[in-house]
Amino acid sequence: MLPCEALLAHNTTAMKKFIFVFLGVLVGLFTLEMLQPVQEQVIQPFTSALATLSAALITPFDADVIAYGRIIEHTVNRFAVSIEAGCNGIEAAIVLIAGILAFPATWLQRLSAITAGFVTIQILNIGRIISLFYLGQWSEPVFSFTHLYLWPVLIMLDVLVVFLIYLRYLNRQQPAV
Amino acid sequence: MTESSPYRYMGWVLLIMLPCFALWYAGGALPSAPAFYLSKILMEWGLPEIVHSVSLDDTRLLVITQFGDIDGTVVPAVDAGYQMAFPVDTRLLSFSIPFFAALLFASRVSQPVERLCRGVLVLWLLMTLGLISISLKNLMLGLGETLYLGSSIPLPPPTVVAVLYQLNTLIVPTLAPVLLWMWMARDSALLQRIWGYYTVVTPAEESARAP
Repeated sequence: MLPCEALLAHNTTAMKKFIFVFLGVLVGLFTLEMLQPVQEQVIQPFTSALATLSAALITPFDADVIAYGRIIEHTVNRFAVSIEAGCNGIEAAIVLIAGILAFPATWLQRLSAITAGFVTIQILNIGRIISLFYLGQWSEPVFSFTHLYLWPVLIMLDVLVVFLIYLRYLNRQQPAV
Repeated sequence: MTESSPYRYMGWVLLIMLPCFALWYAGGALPSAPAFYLSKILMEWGLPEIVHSVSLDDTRLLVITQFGDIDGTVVPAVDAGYQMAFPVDTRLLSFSIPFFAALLFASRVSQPVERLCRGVLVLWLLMTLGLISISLKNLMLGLGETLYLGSSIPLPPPTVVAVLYQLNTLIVPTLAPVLLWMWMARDSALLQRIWGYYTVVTPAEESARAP
């Protein structure tokens, strides 16, 4: 076998193992997230906090915005958005956590990557919420396009870039054989 | 920054996404056509007591049922005088195609079109599962127990339908292209570097990596 073929075969085996573990952890975490007690005690309070934080970031620039529960509303034109499942960045975080756990590393490295990844996802997600809030007041078709098709892709790209940077960091930590 | 830099790669992905998404949007229902026809065949064949027909309304898949509604009660369509129909936006699932294309074309791999075709085949199968699970959720919410009483084939319980719906709308459309890209572009410079260290590196493999 040629060296490059050996490398490719090695990578293929590694990738199969990764995908198997990744999918197992992903389905497990996703099912856990769907459980009613988890929704009530963790997901819904977190989503409400996200709405409050988004409104708090908007208010210094636009005093006509209020947040209650998972809803952000403009008090002048009455336009409102409700942050629902899929809009809180939890699913993206689950994908990232599954990817990080499926890749061999120390627990400290994994925890650091999960924390940093979660923060970057939520920063981008708050950007998504605020941008959608204003796009919705401007144009309904543009709001629908960005909400349904564009932002999900951008959030997943964020997950991917965090994961790739993490893997590159791990590569650099790897001692030479 | 090298050719295998994640930053450079992401820059290319974002750039290539623009024409890919423009083409996909201009294509209307065309990118999801095979998944639509497959789900139409499966739903009309599997649930004839529930589903009268499955058609396409612009980019929406329309499940036309055998039932109508009188004062909040589900009754046969003959009695109601009309048929209840449940729409599914096919673009909710088919945007995985331009996303996958952008990921793949930004990887600078050989024979990208052939890889794209193989990946899109897998995406169409996943989209079929997605269209069916979304339609099942719609039928479950719209028809209630009539769905389970009327179906001659065993259907997944409501909780499983709910999880499948969430999985197929929230995770699969964005995650499947990424996993397919990781697999189909595993010989790209970027992924070679990353996966090379997944397991313990042997001396033979280390020499293989040497320029």
